[in-house]
Amino acid sequence: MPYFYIPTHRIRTESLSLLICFVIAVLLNVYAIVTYDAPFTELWTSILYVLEATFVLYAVWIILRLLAYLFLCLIGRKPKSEHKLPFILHRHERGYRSHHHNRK
Amino acid sequence: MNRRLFLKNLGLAGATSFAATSPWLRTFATVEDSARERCRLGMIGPGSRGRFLLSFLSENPKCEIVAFADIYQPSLDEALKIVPTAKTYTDYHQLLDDKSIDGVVIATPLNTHYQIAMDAFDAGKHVYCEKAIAYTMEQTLALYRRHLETGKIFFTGQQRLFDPRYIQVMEMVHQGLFGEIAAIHAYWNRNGDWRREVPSPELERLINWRLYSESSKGLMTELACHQLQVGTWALGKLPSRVMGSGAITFWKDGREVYDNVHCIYEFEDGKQMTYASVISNKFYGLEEQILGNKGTVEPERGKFYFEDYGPAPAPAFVQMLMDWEDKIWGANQFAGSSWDPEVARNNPGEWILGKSPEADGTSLLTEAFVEAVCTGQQPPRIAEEGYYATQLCLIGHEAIVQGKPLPFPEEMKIDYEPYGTKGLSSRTSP
Repeated sequence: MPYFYIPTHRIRTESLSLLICFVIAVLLNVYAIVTYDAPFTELWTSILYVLEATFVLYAVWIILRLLAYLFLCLIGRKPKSEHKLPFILHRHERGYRSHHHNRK
Repeated sequence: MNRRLFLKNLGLAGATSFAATSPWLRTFATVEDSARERCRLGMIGPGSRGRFLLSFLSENPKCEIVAFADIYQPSLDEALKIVPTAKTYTDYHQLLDDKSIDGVVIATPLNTHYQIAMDAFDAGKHVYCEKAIAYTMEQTLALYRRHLETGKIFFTGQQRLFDPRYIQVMEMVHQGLFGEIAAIHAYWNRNGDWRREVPSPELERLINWRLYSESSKGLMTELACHQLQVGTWALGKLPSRVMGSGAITFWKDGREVYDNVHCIYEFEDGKQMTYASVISNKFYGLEEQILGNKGTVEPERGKFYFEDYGPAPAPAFVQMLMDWEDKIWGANQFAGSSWDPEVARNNPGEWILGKSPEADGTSLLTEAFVEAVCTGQQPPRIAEEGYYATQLCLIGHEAIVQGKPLPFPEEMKIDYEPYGTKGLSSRTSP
């Protein structure tokens, strides 16, 4: 049975990434409002577009890290923990080991 | 439409609110004071147009129609059906000799306006003269000067000056709601020969006087006269140059005036007013399209249209993404916007008066004339508007005849600025 464990620091890192993506999307919206001389009510009337852009940016960030991870694996270098992909279980991570040791 | 309904339609407490745009409306300011006054009018030329005016005058309690003069007996007979008590004359001089008559309404063929109106001024009568007020530019100037010399009331048949649609929308135009007005397209299209039934051949030139150059200048004096005045009213200035072309292209039935005319009136700042009239196609009817960078006015239809009508623009965020997409992937250069036909937008517009037009300003124009005769006060600028309307149609006709651009003659300019400070003060007859 698959077992998923997301370390606390990973949750914190990914949450921060998502927040940064959201802030970038909001700033882009502000830039667009000013550039296209649109009303500032679009700050909240366009919130769905902003959220959509947030997840797109976040997805792009994941893809970039995935590519970096694969590249490091290909050249034989062990990725640092912060380069690892989120939500992927790694055997050497402490929680996984301790859990299985306990079951044995 | 009476004055009370008129003011209500304009949403006014008093007509003086429109003093800047339509100062002649001041004539209604004295209506209450002159409630007990009456005037006696005579009509010279109670033909079809004359009787149309008569239908309003005969209903006006301040006005008594006392005499008719016409050389065509059937016209007199028809007029008597409306006002049976009026005297009739076959010589207008006899009507002018009647000292009890305060003013006359002249609705005769164009070539007779000048002499009749001059005689009327000389006889001490106030004058309402149908447009165009004279056959030549020189006659028009002489007539206007005689009006000033005698101090008698002088109205011309420019009923749009009293049409609530026009008054309302000109206020909006002058406030800049439609942006800068770059051009005006005026046109009047009909599909008909413009002929009246003639009981016997010898009456052809008398009844169908509009078709012969000895008595009329055709579409320019009979139709354009109304619409060119709208153009100068909207732009607040007079054109400096006129060019035009005309021909008889369809109704080749012995007439002598054009059935197809096109003119361009050019203003010093480059703005343009075009006038076109064709009487072998009526699809577009008549209109004066006032074209501003923020909107368009079609007063005949009673509507205005703003340029920004249409689907709401995409949110700025989406516009930005689409622009980035264009920059990254490139816009299609073969079918870009330059290839899109700019067909007219399906913009329903808005009613100028909130509803479909019901009538033109003829009833109010006649009411204003009666009021002016009762009080002896010439409304500001109304004679001048009529003066320039006639001059513009006459010089347009002259440009067509000569086949070359003509400047507006300096010697024909009067001491009057359409929307400046001159001419605003009301003159009182002695």
